[in-house]
Amino acid sequence: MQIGDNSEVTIEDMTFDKGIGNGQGKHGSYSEANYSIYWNSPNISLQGGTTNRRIYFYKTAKVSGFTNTDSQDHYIGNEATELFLANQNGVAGAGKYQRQGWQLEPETTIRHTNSGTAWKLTSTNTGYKAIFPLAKVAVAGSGTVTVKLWVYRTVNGTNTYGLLRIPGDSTLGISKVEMNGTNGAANTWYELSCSVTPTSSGILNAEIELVDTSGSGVVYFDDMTITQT
Amino acid sequence: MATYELLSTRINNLGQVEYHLSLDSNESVLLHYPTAQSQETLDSECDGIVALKAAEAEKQAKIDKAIAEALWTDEERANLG
Repeated sequence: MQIGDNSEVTIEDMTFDKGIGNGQGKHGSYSEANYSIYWNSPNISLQGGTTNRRIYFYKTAKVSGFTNTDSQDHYIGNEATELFLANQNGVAGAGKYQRQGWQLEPETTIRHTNSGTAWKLTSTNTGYKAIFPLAKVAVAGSGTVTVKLWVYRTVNGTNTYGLLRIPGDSTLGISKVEMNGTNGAANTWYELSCSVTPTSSGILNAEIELVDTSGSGVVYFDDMTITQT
Repeated sequence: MATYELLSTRINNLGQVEYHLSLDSNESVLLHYPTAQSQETLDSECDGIVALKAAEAEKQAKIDKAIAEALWTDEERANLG
């Protein structure tokens, strides 16, 4: 089923079955559906239900409390598409943020502070940059702003690491500042820190990038602080 | 059937067994199941994913070609068609 052209659609309780497999039947060849919905409108509300075949998201969506029993995650078909999932499969707290080629999930095992939630950023394709915006914060036009973030990776070397960045911004009078996590050892928490001194008040952005040449890299992050002194 | 490198296995936050497999040197896939699966099952799933990607790339190439040809000028149509 394709829903496109900015259609406004509410699906209260969906049940989708992909079929029984691929092969040749008496009415010709048959095959499983590759996707359950081609989600090509930003105005779709999916309020519950179950599918055993993933959804093809071409437009940004927020979906809560929907069950996907497919072995694969939902497919993101557009680099600009954002998928926000909450209470996946009816499990409280099971959320995920998916983009094309990467995803972000809450992490309760590998944490810097032994409570609450850390975040796991995973790359699945080197063709896309895994950059997650951490904060957009109002700052004064004097004093040094410092952004700190703890990161954790599972490998050594320079193929997979976290990169904390304050992008350059002419409205604040700042140039780009970055710090990478290549000095952090595998399976160890390592603190990244970036500082800038705005000359005008305004909105400062901070972001984390998972730099990865493997198409399968992972970095965890936790305990961000932003101060201005 | 090809064999795909298993990068990691864990229980995800849905309580499923999640396998992270490398499709090639640039791309990987996360697969999850209610119970543990054999390498053969995972390889078969990855074969299907790779085949689907190839089919979709072929389809997209045809769409791109048709669009490009639809936008040809008369001169281009006479010389390229």
